[in-house]
Amino acid sequence: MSIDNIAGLASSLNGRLFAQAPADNTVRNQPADKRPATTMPGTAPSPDPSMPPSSPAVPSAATTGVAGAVFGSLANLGSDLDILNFALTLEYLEADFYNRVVEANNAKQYLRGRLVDIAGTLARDETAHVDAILKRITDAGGTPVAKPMFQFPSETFISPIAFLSLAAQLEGTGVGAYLAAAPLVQKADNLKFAASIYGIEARHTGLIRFVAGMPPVETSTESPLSVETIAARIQPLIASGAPGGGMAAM
Amino acid sequence: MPQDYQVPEGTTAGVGLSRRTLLGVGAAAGAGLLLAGHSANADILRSLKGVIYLNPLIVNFAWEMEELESDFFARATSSRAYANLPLRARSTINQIAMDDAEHFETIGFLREKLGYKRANHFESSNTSSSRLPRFFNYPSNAFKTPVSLLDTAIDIKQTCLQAYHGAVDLVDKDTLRLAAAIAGVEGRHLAILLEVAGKDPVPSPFEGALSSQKAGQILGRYGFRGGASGGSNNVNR
Repeated sequence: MSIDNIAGLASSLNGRLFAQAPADNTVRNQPADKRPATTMPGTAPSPDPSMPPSSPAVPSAATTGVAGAVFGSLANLGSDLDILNFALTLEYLEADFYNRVVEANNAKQYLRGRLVDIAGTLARDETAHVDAILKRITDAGGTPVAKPMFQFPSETFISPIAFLSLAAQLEGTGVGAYLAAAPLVQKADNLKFAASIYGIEARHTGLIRFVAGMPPVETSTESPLSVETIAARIQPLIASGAPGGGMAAM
Repeated sequence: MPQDYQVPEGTTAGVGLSRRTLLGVGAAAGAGLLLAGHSANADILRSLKGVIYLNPLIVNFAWEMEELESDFFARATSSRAYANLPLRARSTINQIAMDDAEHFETIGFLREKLGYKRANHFESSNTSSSRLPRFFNYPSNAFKTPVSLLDTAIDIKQTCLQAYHGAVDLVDKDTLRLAAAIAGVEGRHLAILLEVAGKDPVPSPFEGALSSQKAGQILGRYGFRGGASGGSNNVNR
């Protein structure tokens, strides 16, 4: 699949994902893609020199490069298996992150009190999501997408605030992704399955934002995210491919 | 694998339900039976769109759920129990009250757009009035202590959330988009209520789902009628 085709598919997919433009153009009710970034002041993870720079404002970059390789073949969400594999990639990411957080905390005890329990819960849940999606794909005769190599800012493994900030972004991305994909799911049992995961991603989002001192709910309704936006958010977290390289190593 | 929550059996005994409420629960149960019976054949059901039309039932059900939630949380903000909550918990309940009021309004617009029934103006009950609810009923101690307030809030919120999840495969795509967008926020609400209450905010990796019959039975103790009347039975509507 060429770079141009990936960008074109992402563009056409956006048209399928969004049923209508938002009725209210105030910031609060704008789609998550368009709303200004809301990270906690001073808590955005510092970019690691070894990490490739992220370019969230450049859709073509988001759908090419490493993220494009991961998401490009999944941009054509024409079947339930495609959608499940798309979800699987996101769940791989979340599970990998939280399991690393738990490992890091076991070694350094940088999380305290409730955050220890929350990190454990998140790791448990996302791992369960990965396992469940893998089983559903293989039971349906499909081939699960390979797990990419991920890399995370080093601060997330030493700073509780950095951990919460990235966790909030990941969970919010998951919510927006599932919401965007839901109307595309064809089979009822797959829809119910996806909804059961989506519901927990939403709980995670509210919980993380609450304990982080952020407003737990940004708007009264969730907003779907485009494939481009999802890919742009994920791209910085996908390693170039070298196992254990850069931030991926702990 | 996903499993339905084992929601404690709701009991109506001892609540002193009025005849109207019992009829409402019966109507909800009847609608719920219809929905439950078809849920196993949802794919066939959706292919018969126009012949079997469940959207109005479910949208009306959701509309009344949001009315119940917005009524409860609005009343909560003027209760003694609320005043005794920590600041963060009070902010949470305030936010939930506003969100649920918007949900009620949004679904009302959807009903009007879909031509189910003309949506009537919703009068906010978020006042400091101590009058009894005109439509919904709450346990006598619901607003007396922080613990009872949060317990009641969680019961209502969890039931409504899982009713949304129980209906995901029973509505058309447009309704699904809106319902899912609302259900996500309901999930956030539930998690933070549980956290504030000192309970496990995410006891399972998979969200539970309730049939509308079961949800109607649980919410019936609060005067919920399952949307069978086409929405609120408030005399001002």
